[in-house]
Amino acid sequence: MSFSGAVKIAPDALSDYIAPSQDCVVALDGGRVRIDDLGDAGEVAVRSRRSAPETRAPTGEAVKVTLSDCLACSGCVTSAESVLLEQQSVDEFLSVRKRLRSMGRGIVDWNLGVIVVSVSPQSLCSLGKVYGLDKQDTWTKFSGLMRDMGAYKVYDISGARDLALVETYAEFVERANGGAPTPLLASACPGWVCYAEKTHGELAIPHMATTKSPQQIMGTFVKSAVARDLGVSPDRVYHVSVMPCYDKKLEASRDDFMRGGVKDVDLVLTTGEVVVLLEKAGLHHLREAPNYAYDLMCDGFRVPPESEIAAHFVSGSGGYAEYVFRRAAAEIFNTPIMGAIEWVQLRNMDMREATLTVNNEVVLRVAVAYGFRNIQNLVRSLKMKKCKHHFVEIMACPSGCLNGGGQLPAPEGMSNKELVDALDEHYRIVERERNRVDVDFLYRAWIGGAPGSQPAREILRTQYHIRDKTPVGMIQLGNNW
Amino acid sequence: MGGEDLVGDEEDFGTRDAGETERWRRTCAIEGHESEVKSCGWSPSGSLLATCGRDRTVWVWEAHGEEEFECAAAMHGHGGDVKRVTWHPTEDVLVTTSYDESVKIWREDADGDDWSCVRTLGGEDGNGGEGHASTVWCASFEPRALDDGRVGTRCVTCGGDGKLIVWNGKGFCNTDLEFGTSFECGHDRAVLSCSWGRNGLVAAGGGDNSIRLYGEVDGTWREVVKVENAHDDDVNHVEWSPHDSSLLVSASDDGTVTIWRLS
Repeated sequence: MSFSGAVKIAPDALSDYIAPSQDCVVALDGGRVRIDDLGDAGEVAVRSRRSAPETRAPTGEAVKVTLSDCLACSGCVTSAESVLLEQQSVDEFLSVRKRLRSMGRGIVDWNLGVIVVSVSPQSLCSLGKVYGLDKQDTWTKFSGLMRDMGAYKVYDISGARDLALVETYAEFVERANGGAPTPLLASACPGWVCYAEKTHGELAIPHMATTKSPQQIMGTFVKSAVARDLGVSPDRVYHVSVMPCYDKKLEASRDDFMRGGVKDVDLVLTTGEVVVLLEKAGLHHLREAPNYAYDLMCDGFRVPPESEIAAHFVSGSGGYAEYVFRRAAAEIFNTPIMGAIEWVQLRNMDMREATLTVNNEVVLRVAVAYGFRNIQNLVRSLKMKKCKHHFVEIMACPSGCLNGGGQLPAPEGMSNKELVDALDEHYRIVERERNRVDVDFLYRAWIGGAPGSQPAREILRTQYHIRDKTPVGMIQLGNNW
Repeated sequence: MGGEDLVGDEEDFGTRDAGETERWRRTCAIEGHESEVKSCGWSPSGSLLATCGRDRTVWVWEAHGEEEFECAAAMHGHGGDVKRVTWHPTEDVLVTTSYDESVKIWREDADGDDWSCVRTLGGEDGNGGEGHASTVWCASFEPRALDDGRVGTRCVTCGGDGKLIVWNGKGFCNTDLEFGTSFECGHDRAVLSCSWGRNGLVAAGGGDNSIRLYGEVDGTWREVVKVENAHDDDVNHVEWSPHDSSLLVSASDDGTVTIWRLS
């Protein structure tokens, strides 16, 4: 499993998301497409395991696998990463930039389009830690780099993440009031979503929170509010998001996140790909990038409730569990949490639980489950109807999003574990200092309704699909495979 | 030893409906693998179960009573179909063999939080060491207590390249392995299964329908018994009895299981 072209990622990084485990089975003649044998041209050659020479599809044309094919097929658990690279790559970004004749630094051909970038706090954390820059410098240098690379606006996704928390809690309350089955599963992780849809659709989907991920909330915001502000139609806004995760490329490609043929997020670059972009800009260090201020989702900050601050302070993966626990404790059980929540480790470090006891009775159980094995155990407990949790924050990567497959590798001499610990610490400091956008204002001015209201549901929520096991995915190959 | 022979006692075990019978009750179904599950095995402590399969993954499950299993690790690392899981005879250390031509050793991390691959022998990531040149089908540890009183410390693997490789144990309880010796065996097709007996002999069964026994004579491995056409089709599995050191069982694509007595 290797990545071609300019993308460099640590071999270790590949093992921390749910990796494609089988050769792609999408092919016209029933032959298999070998993921690891993709040609440079981005064409997918059909090859069978035992016949060494390459065989082309009958038409003479190479079979092309698109991301939509990947999403619809159950041949492998996640995507063909080569397909992702072809359609969601640094080269694709550069070619779009060229097409839009986007010089950056405010020079835009409005007839062609405008590039807007939004970046995840986990990516900034990774860049800051590896390049040894503080929070402010990381931000302004990143913003400067992206503007040099053609971006007209550069946003922080944190604001969208705060919206995701508030809307997820609204969903939690609705479900609790409506007597829906527990647990509610935070489903911002595309690795989890893809796995759940393909392998446990009927079982898992009724439990999956429909609140969009921060990336997709930001996408909706950019293609509506930002486009409106700039006075261009959504299809003239080319939205690039920077993420710690390869599977976010897949998420952005879902049909659910396309309105009127326009994608909310056009391209996803990983943190690692930002470094490739840096090199393409002829820079050796992020420090060499110009300083440039970043853009805000709305004017005016606010002092957020403690639950919101604590959520990000405690978790590098969005803080859903922490947030829901605090608000539910205070608002449903009238037992506000003072100080830190006691997270008890269950079977390993990536499986933790917090419980609220009122009158000697456990009334609230919230858990964090990271990594494939804990997802397995969770799904298993769902299946056996033994899951006691009311809410679970699921992430496919061990240690969560800070350890995403798209993050920068550990510098020489540092183990991945040490890097994750260092990122975690750095993240906490950054999150403490972060200014908060006014979520209430965004609900009022952008969404036009309160959390959980009809407009909020339309704008902030999505849906999931059971992916049937397709016959092509069930092809049995001989020869002891 | 040259005069010894294997005497077969064939039994057709036939087929039986899956699920419940009078004597067997299904207590638990473990799901997680994406496609065919190739092999499973209990750890020496009995508290762990390992599985592997075509999805290239190796899983370790922790038993909580007989009806509850939790996934302790789901491990990627092999580049192809994982054929067999083999536990070390005394320690909870796992050896896997794969289509990717490698043998991997897995163990729990020092902090007890997860499992990982600690060594790869052969294959692309095999650190340039010697290994198999084709699918590695099976591994078998030398029994700790051999009939002649010696303590076994080694492990044997067999492959599609028609070779057997003996790996020398080193490190803690000989749970780490390094290349010892490799020898061509008489099989002219893939060697699909091997088993190291208490009698010191390595039994091997293969795609050429034969079962062969190999013995170490003055440090050199030699074929000591050969049963050509032991079965009418591939011999998928051979295994020495852990209690009776002259008893061997074999399973074949011809639909039969045969018990052999070394005379």
